[in-house]
Amino acid sequence: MRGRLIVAGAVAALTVMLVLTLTPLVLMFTTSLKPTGTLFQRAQQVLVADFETGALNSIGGPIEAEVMGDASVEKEFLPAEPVPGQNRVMAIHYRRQEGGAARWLTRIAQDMRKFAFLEFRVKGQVGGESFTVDLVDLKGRQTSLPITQFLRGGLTTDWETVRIPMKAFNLSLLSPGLPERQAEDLVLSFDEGAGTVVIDEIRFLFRDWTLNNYWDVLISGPFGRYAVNSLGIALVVTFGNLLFSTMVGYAFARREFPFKKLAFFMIIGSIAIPPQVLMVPVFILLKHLGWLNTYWALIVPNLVAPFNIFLMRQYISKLPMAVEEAARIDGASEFQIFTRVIIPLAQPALAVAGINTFMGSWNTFLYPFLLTNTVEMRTLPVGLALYKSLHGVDWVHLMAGSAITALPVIVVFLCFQRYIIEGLTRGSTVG
Amino acid sequence: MKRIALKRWGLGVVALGLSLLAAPGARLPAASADEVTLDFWELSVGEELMRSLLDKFERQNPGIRIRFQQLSWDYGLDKIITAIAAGNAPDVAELGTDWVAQFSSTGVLKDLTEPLTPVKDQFLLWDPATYQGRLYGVPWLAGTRILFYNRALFARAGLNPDQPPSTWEDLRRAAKAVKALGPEFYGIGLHVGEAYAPWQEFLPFLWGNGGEILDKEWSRCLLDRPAAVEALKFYQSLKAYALVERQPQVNQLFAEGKVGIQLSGSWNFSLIPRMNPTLNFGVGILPKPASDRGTPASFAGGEILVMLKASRHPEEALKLMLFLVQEEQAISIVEAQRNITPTVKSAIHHPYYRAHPEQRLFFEQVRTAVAPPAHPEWVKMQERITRVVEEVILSNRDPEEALKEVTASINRLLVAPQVKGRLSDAAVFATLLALLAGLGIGAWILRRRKGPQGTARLSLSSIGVSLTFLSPWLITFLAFSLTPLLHSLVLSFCRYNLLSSKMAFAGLGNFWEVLKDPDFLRALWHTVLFAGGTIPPTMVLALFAAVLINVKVPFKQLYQAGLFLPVATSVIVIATIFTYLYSPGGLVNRLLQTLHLPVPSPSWLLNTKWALPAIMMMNVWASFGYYMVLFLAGLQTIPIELYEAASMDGANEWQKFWAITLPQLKPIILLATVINTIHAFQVFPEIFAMTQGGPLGATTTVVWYLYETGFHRFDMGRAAAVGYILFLITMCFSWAQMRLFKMEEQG
Repeated sequence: MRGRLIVAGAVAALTVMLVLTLTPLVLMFTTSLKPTGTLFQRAQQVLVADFETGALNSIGGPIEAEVMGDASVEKEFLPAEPVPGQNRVMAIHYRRQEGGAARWLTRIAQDMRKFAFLEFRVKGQVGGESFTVDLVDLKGRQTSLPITQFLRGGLTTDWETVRIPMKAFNLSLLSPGLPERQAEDLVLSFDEGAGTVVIDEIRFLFRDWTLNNYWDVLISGPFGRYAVNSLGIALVVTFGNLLFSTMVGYAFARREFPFKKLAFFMIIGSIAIPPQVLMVPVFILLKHLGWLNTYWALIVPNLVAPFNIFLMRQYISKLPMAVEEAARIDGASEFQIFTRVIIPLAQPALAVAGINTFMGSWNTFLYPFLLTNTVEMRTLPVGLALYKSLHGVDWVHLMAGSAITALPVIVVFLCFQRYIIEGLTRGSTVG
Repeated sequence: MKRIALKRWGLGVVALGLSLLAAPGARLPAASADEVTLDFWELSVGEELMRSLLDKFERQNPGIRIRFQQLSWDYGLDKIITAIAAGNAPDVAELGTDWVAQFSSTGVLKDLTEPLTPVKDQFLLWDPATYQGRLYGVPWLAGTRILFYNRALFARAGLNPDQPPSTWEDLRRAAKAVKALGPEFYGIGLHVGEAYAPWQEFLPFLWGNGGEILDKEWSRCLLDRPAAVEALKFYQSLKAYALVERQPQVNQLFAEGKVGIQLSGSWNFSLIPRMNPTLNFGVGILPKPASDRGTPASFAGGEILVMLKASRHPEEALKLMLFLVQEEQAISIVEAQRNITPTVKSAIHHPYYRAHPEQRLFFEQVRTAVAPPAHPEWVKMQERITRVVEEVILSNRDPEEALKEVTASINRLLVAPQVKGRLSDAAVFATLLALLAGLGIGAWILRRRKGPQGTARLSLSSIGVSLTFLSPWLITFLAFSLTPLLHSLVLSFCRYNLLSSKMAFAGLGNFWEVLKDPDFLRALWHTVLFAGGTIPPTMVLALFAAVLINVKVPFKQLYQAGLFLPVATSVIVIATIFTYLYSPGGLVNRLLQTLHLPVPSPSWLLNTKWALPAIMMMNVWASFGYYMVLFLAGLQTIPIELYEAASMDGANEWQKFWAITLPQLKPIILLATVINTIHAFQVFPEIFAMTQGGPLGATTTVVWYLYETGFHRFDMGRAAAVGYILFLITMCFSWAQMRLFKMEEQG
């Protein structure tokens, strides 16, 4: 009974801790799946124009008219319900003949992939029956839909709410070659004839969830390359550390050589060197080697971490001598003993060193930041920091980039966590 | 070149090991013999557009290839400085206006007076590119600060949404009216807690009021004059209605519709629609002191293209610079970026400006904008002005007194001598070599005098085998730890300007200056606080979680993995998330409000009292999982019999914990403490990514102090001295803890 109570208490306490620990990370993932907004606020819509405040639209862009040939477009604000002093709608008076063009447009500058619908209220007066809705990009490429497709029989003198699914547009025409489907202007192009169209409350409605942010940063953004770099470097550094620190650790645990104590003291000492002390000299050295902005600079100095040597030395010195001695009697050479006996026996400690090194290499920031110059060479944390400062607080993309940076290590840990515990358990008499 | 460098280094072993690795991939093969490759580094345009402009340049100029690097504002300057220090600078670089003087005075920039004089009439903004009457760069893009206001909030507060405030009094009245809308609204955003924004936002008031920073001859500081005092007093009076925050947070809350007015830069035009596409905002030029006096001044900044003296292709580099500043290129940058202004005067007639009349506002503001003095010590002056603004805003300091103090300290800067003299690289390397040799010989003699020991009888072949096993460590340790360590030891005894590479012997001067610098002592205190405040909670939390998981809870793996996750996450990611959690509208404040607890003001990372604890809490969150796993492993090794025996004796869980668990875990707790101590003393990325040592130096730790001294003040010798002091402190701690280990093992 008391045992159960204790377990229940432990579960309760742990669950509280778990929730607190995971909240920031969960926020990161959920934000990365939003079309726009911040960690907490999530915009439902973009109000393009409701004509209540001044001459600009609600985004701050101008409202303009464009005519060609013998045509005219005039804009007029009309008072409207519910508060005629404050609420307004826009009446567009147009006249157009064959060959001309009559267009009403307003700047939106939005990425169309984020939206599910375009919605507005509209009614026609005096012959104004139909027009097309166009989305136009910076270079004038456009995709159009006739309003009659959504209002059978065209406009009437009653208010109607038109809701156009973004899928109906051929968005791939906009800014081809770029990841975004950026529409610069929202345009109403009027048919031949003359009339008046009244519009109000033009808005884009956001999609609920999207993976676009991931595609943006991974495929069209540079994060794909960063991830490849991070992975390659981390794998080579990890492998190097496993091999080399076992070699060195073995020498310290089992062999005698001059200056052994001094050398071991130096290993312990170099764990405590703040990396910032060495920053400039290391930079100058790597420059003389011609290694700046190469993988060499990111790999070679990290191939043998002193902490791993320490770990391996402690673990190997606790291994029973009997197996090695048996092998030696059988005539095995020192190197055979190392590869056939020590490495297999040291596997639990190797798992610990491996995971630690992988995570350390994956997450390290300062040196890769100083030593790399180009997109091709950057690692994920460096790229993420750069992205953060280039794109301000663009939370959704930043969190997608963060998630990409965080995920692989999380996966590695989840796969190997048993190993870590086991390894640490067997080697935990370290020190 | 590689070979010479290594010879100088005198590390035959290193050469042997490294030449095997260095061969492939280190250098790209040149495409053809007569093709010229230029390196160009740039901060403000963006990778995609810049590449297309450069492609165009390459098409027009066959035979010139451009290798280009995109830098960011947060870290770009550090990269340029490091590159110059390492002799690896680009041919052409973009510099912010406020940095040019310091670069030109150290002699790393090429004097371009002759080639640029003929085109001088075509461009604006020459002042920042001029140093002692010579031209060191060509102005490229101009930026200035304008007034952004929330039209919807103005309408709600009964103000005219089409009329931005045009005088100081208007500004105050508008801020007050918006603040009166409710506790979640702020009349105006005031920037603090970072290097640039505070002075860039305050100085327009001073200039508009007829004030100046220095007199014409740069012989005296004028910040204690009435015009300056009046401006700062007015600025302080805005605080009552203000959101006092870092610029990104002000930008963000403005975008969320919580802030009535902010004085800010062009980036908001693209930032606001991205963060909150629905925000209805307007812009105006900055207000002047009163309708009948003063000017609507603003801060004039911008981008200058400079050529580095080390460039081997000055003609081609000049060609590139003049290509980039041309109207066509400048306009396409402006078109993409929105609202930076080209410096080329003819651009005003470009169709782009006819099509976008609202953007002419920037031209209008640039006309009355003022550039800060192009004094080589300006960077230090701006730091001091920023500090005064922060003191007056955050700590309610009396403006007059604060300005008097900063005037005195800037006056001292004006007479401070510059570092002169130079030790050659050869001398430094010779010293290094001597030190290395000395160390080797010293160790050898020491051994000899101790007489032959057990190891002396080892056969050569046995030593050879040992050496083979040790070689990976020997090579990397000698090359990447010991040599740099000695190099920085040499630096610590010298005055060494990172930028100009001027070096002079200084004896113990650096150490002495550092130890008596109150800022350093404060940094040391913060570091000790950080260690003292993070290590115990981390250990207790980790132990608590480990013991709980060990009572055989169901889903053990889940808890274990979940609590460990933050450890696996990059510090940069964590810092990004927590910056937001700690912001005024962030999760932490929301939680506190829900619980009806007081919320710190100004917000966490800007609060001199709470910024460091906030980072400490984050650090505990991010690291306790690691130690938990360590302890969990330790718990598995405790023999179950001990607990069984204790149970038989009638001990309860609590007694068992104190009598068995804790003593058995002691060695592993000590190990964890050593690791944690080392990490705590080296805390840096968190500070770097979150507060940059601010506010008012409240999060300046020793490593941040080191970084700032070396990379922002270019005083590398002193930075090396700081490094050594920190190294010694950490060594002492580690040594003490190792002694404890030993005693445990023996006892």
